[in-house]
Amino acid sequence: MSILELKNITKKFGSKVALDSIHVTLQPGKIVGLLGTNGSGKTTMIKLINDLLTPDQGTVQINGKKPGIDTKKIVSYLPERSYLDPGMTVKEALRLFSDFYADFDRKKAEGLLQEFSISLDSRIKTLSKGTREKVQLVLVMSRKAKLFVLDEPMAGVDPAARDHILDTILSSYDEEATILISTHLIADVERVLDEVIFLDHGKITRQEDADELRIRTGKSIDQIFREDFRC
Amino acid sequence: MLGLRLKYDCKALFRMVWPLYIVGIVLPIGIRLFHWIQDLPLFDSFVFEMISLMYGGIYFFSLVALVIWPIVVTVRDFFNTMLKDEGYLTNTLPVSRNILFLSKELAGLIIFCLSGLVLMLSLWILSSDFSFEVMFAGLPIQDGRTIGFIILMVLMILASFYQSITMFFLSMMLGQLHRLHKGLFSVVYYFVISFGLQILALILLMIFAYFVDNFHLEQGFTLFVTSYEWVVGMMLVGALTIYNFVLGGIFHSVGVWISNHKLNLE
Repeated sequence: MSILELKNITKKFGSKVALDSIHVTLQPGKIVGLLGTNGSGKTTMIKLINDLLTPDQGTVQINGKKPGIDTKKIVSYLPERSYLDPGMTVKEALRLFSDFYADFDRKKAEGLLQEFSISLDSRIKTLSKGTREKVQLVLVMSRKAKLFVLDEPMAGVDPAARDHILDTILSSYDEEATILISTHLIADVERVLDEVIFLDHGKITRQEDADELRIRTGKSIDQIFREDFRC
Repeated sequence: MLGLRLKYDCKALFRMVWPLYIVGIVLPIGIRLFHWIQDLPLFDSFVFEMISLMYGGIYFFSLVALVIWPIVVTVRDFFNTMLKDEGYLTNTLPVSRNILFLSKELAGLIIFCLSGLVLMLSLWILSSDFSFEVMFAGLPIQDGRTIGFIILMVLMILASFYQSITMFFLSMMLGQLHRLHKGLFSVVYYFVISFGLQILALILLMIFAYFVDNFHLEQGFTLFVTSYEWVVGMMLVGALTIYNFVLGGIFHSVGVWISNHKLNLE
């Protein structure tokens, strides 16, 4: 059974069509890059998967179920923004995740935070934007979820830390799980992608195996992306 | 899950109200201090009287704040944690939206009750002879029903608070359906619902006035003086309590339905 299936999804905001009759199917155990320019519909698609938006047309199925309580138990979502209560300490954020997610591994989270040199007693509001993103990434990647949905996980961190973050993502997830990673920093993630989805103005222009695409074209994903999306 | 959510929601609200509780308790101590020293020749001056008056004014506003602030923080918390950035976490927790809403409503009620207790404590500190017996002395004790009446009044206040916050929540849920000016639309929806409720209340009062026995009330309806007025008064308070709880339940259900089917965290 596919872990994620979007069938004929259309989402409009007023007269603007954010997603136009898209079909996506993801199999377990893959790292999939959701690639597109700003405003291409990546975040809209991710929000639909996470039950933060409802489609105007079509259906979303995660592990055979519509988005809801059951799917939220198996989907670990990292949004592009800071979603933790600024008044909380990092320790309280860990407690919140342990309280609500049965698959949350607190020890693993504490270990990862130590790697990033983030104190458990720090208040979220006192952390820099990049450090907040790291805390959220640690929380999200410390779950034993079946589907990880990461929306621009490295957008706010310095280039030096990106490799570390990517390594954290790779070392943290169970190989049976699927990672859907939305980014426009393609060069940084290219090496880990099994599959790529190109999204352009709400339409899927490519969905194929990353290695096959590279071999067939003789170019990197980053180069193909630049050619496809050249203004 | 409700208990867990309630723990986090109460904590979040308490973080925003506890400074007011401190103010509500410290200020009456200051007033008593003013009263104590005002007779001393050193402080028998116009300036001191003015300071004392200003201090009293601040205290009065702190009492008003103890009633209003719980509503403000409950509404603000709902907006921030359901519809703003924190909503990305709240809405992706494996908890039903019904529980999320209920928890926020109950947390608001708990903080409202706590504020009520602080208000009474504040008044008790202010007035050495403050007592509930004095407070309710004006109510005639008829067949030992006073306690029942007080309970009914407390329930009615809680029901009004519940109805108010669910109305705010619903207005915000309706406002978020729009792509732009969500805050402005929330305010517009709030006034539209308020207007509708006022018309409904007017109709219900007219029905009430039609059925009530005017003969017994024609001398002027001074609640609780006669036995008939007592019964009518109790029925009125009871009906208002049920009315507010029912409206609150309707607002809650519609709000949950919108969040389940039309959530728009754009």
